[in-house]
Amino acid sequence: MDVASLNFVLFALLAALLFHAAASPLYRKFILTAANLVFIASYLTEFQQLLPLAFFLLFGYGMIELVRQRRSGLALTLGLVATLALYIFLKRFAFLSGLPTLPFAYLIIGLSYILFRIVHLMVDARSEPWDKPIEPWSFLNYTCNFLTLVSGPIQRYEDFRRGEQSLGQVLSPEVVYRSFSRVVVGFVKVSAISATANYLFQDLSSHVLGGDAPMSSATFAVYYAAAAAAYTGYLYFNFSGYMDIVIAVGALFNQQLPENFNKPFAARSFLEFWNRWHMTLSDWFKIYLFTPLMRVLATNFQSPAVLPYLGVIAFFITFLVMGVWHGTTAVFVIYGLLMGAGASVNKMWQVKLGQALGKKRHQAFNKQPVYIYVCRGLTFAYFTVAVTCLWVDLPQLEGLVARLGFAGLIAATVGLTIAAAVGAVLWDIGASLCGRVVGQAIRFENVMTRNLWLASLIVLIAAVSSFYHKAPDFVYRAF
Amino acid sequence: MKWILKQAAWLIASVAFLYVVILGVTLLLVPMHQQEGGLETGRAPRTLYMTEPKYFFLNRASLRADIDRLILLGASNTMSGFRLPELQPLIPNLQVNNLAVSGSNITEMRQAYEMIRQVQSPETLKRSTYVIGIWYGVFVPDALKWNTPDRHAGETDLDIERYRYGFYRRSADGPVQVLPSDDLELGLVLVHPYLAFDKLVRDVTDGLRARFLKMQPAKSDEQRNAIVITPEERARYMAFWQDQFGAAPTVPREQFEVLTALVDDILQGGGTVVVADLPIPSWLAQQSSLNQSYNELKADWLTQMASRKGFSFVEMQDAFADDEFVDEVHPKPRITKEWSRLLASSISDETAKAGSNP
Repeated sequence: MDVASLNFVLFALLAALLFHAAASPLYRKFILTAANLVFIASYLTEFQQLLPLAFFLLFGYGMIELVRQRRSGLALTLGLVATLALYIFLKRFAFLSGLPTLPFAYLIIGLSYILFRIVHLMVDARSEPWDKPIEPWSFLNYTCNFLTLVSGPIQRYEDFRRGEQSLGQVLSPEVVYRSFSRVVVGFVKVSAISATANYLFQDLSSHVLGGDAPMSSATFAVYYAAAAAAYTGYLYFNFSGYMDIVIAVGALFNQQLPENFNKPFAARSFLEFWNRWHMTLSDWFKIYLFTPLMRVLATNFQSPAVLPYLGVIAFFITFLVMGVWHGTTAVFVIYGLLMGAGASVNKMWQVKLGQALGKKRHQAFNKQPVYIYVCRGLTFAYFTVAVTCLWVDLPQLEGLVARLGFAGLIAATVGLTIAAAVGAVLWDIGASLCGRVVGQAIRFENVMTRNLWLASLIVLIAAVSSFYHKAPDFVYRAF
Repeated sequence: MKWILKQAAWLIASVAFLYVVILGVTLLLVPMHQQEGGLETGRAPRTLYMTEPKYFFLNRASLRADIDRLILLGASNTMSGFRLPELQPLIPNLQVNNLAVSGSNITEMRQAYEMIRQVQSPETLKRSTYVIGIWYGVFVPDALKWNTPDRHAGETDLDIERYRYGFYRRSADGPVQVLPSDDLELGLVLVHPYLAFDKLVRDVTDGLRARFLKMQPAKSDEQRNAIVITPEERARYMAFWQDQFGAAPTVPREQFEVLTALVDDILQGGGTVVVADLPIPSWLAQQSSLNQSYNELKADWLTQMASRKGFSFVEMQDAFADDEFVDEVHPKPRITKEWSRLLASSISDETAKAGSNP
């Protein structure tokens, strides 16, 4: 069942109505479990397709319990290695194509996000004073939550437990309206804006990947930059719209799911960007990879002169792994390298600039409007160029780079930087003006006006959706 | 639970209210399409429907009237080769309807027939003569033809129109009709705001799409008449069709089997069928291995079809000189009258032979 579909909305609405049909927390927990199972079953055509996922869950649970009981580094290492090995086997990474695989098709949807949760529990099971095993029922609801199974947000177990304890709460009309409203906005993003960006991307990218029409190098670079920018728009609106839908639906089930986006294109650096984009994934990698890595590096390299550069190395490795996680083929390694390079060069720039200017001048320089907008533009441009790896395969990437050449690649990046910087300036001016005007003129406080506003968005979604032959897929499901 | 139900009710009522208002305003500002005479998909861009599949799918209710008709099914060469104002006067006793849809293969033509059948009574079906325009390009297998990133795998352009406004819904067993064919006119009124909005957006963005995207700007008849095909263009056209067939050297039999089924469907419904092998330039006919295999399959197929009453075949493949084409398959506007004349003479002969039309 696609989350950004009418079927999902009807399913979620029905489940929410059943959920609120009785106030007993036990009953509501049961409804959540039933909803999770129905959601997973919607992806199955045969029961056996579920078995590897079920085994992965059982195995993960066993490993968490092992770590909790032993509380040793060895148990944790064993648990992590074994779980990762099973994950890699089930995910069928391209570089392991020689290995035997299971002789039937099976469900891998949600596997990555289940892994994140299991690793999180395993690490915390060693460090936290848990004297009781995790309740299996809660573990099932936590790892297989139908709202977060496919692509997050990655909720921490403590937050999930807090939600479980407030299952019996009564919804207020304001929460219900806000939830409906955010679902509609999510659909506007997915079905109207990202669908339009995808239409543009499909058309523009066919110019650069199809190679059917002769064009100059400059025109090719312009088409590439435009296609890449359209893809970034598609990716953002698709993913953030999806998040709006699941977070809003979560509120109807008394769940406070964490936010995953915070105006990423307002970021002034690549590192800041990742604090605003897919935030729960970034946090996860920060806690479970970057911080332990920094700890290890700092223990082994204690010279104060080296210390600032350890972050450069840790960022490179963290972002490399995060990039590689996105896919199972060689092009994702290149994506990971670009992510790693972006993060480490960004960190290096911060270190060097700080050293060259001194703390006060550095802070003052960082507040210069021109510098801010250039940085915003460059952040957008670098990310946009890097995510090219998500829409090409390796031969296409080779062809694209060969056709662009070094000069074309630089020209496209510079063009994207300027366009994004100018766009950011215009956006900020427009947002400031509109904020004042609209804020004063329109107040959707009346139940009729605010529902008419939502209705107009729904009509818009239906109208724009009717332009396109196919609703865009949820793009992050592939990662 | 109470608040969820209340909010859902408010939202549904608001959408319904807003939609009725928008519908009323749109009907006042943008008149509905009035169909006069026969249908011609080539006119679609000048109507509210904008595209040929949409024009066909939504406008086919006008085929209900119980009159004698000539209905052309085919791809873009059928559409551009047989212009209604040129063909209609040559066949005055039949209402001519050119329902060809660009890019069709035989499967889509068969869908078109099924969609016509849905709106016609058994008596009306019997009063139609179908012309099916073929050449090797309409024999691309479904798996290759209808598998582009912008569509659900296997869905034709007509399928897309079925689902676009919810007149059908997808199911594991294929399209399921939601709006009964008898209510097509009502459906057309209900989707009028969408049609108007679509046209508005297309009109506004035409220039941009033609400049930056792959949309081809329309050429005038004068421009089309002046086209001279270069050797490089010939090579590109040949390569395009080779690519359409997935680099296979020969035309597969699959679509001939669909053609047999289509002809049988029409004959069983009481109509008559003329299959026209449409003209192509000699350089394509002689140099394409696809065309050679197509001709072989066609010869076998004709032998198989020979005994069918009400079926006839018109050979036009090499009827026109190379410089009468704007590309590998479409005629120059100056020659389309000749295409119509050639077809009309065969129709008159064949219908006279079949004796099925008064």
